[in-house]
Amino acid sequence: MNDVELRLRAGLGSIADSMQPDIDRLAAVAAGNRLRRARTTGWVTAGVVLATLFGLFAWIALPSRQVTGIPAPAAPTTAEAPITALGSLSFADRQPVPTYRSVDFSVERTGNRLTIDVVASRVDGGPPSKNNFPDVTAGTFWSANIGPGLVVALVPDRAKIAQLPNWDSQSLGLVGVGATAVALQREPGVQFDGLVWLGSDGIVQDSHHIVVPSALLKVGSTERVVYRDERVGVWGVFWSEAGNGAAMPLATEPARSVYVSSAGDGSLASAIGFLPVGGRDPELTTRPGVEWTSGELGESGRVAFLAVGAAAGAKPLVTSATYTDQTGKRLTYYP
Amino acid sequence: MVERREVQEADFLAFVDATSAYLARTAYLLTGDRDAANDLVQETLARTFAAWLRVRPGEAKVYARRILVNLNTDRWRRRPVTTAQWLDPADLANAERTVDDRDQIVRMLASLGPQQRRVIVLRFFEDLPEAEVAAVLGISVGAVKSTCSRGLAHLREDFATTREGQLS
Repeated sequence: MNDVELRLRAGLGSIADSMQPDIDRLAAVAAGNRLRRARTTGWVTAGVVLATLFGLFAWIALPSRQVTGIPAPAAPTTAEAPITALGSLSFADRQPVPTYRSVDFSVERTGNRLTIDVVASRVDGGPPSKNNFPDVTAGTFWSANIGPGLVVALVPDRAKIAQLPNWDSQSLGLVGVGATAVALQREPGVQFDGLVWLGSDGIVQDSHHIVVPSALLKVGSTERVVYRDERVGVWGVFWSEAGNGAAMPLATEPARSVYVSSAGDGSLASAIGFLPVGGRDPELTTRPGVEWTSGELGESGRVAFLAVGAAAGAKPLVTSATYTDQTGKRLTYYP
Repeated sequence: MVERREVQEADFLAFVDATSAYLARTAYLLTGDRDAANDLVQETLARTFAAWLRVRPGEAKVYARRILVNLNTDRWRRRPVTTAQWLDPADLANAERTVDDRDQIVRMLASLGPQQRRVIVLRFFEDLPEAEVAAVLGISVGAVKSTCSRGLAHLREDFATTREGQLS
């Protein structure tokens, strides 16, 4: 150990010892209880319907993607007997060509402990990256950076994983261990700020251990779970069809005006919009035949709307949005 | 049910008593500000209690530390651009110590980038191995090594500069 390290260890300890905590223990308990209740409330209001819709969907639709999963051996009869699940995530045929071609997971669960083996195979035929992570707690989010621009993770649920901007992600439910395996490869220079997922209980969560403000918006047969995650820095939608939805960086969103993002999916086009902070009571004018709805994202105070109409036609789905701002004034915005 | 909740709360309060000083020291080194450190610990404890049923007894401290580091990262991203104030009146009042290693390290720590500071604190105060630092910060072991190396190089330069200054 060199001189700098020795002085650092001694100096940091000395500095830290000068800090005396000033903590309100009971306030921490009360705040923790409020967080618990918020999660429970979210589950009760959204979970009953969504558990049916998304739970059924998650089990049926996720394995239909281009990744492949190998079912685990038959479940053992005792809780402590190990269960192993295997999964392979492919990044084949990507442009630009990524560093890694595939990522193979082997996850063994014994009680509530996991042993995770991950092998990442390179496109250039170089030696694969082999990693072993023993003694991981089951039922919690886990992630590791195992190579240049490659992050692997386990999400504690059969979940839909948000497609983060500038990250190419693949995911697969691991039968038997109650988790979803995720592999993400980044574009150069992109930082990993966390994962966002829609659990089988219909709740949007992220890897910072928080419930993400979200709303289930329905127009006819079109359903979207809209969310905003300030910590990960994205907003996005999960949809009930196959696929993991779309996510956009919050950094590109204007702060003081209504934000509308439109996308066409087959014969239907949809537009997602957010009112500015404090905005409420939206009224949209749309092109003919467009239907819309709105809702608040959890208890965040942010209101989102969903407009759905025929994909044909160059005119935007939403031509104006009128809302009440924080001061009570009615404003109209033209996207 | 009520009794079970009371047991949980009692367990948690015992945990707070046992670890709040440790968390506060780490938070202070990460933030450089006593008030911010206390706020950080308060929020960390609330989140830890919210997840108390899921946290294994032997892992609560590690869990709380991870929450604390993550919250600090979020706090740093949301912060207005200011320089951390490390020296408070209590420190300055101790005139005998204002020129010792402690104050020099305080100043140099404040000059590190946020990720370098996190890595340095976790490596040399928490004494965590590189792999554990990587797990806490959600980065690779290689990134921990390179960040730590850059941070130490920066500190080494500062030490050298100070010595040259003293000699001249």
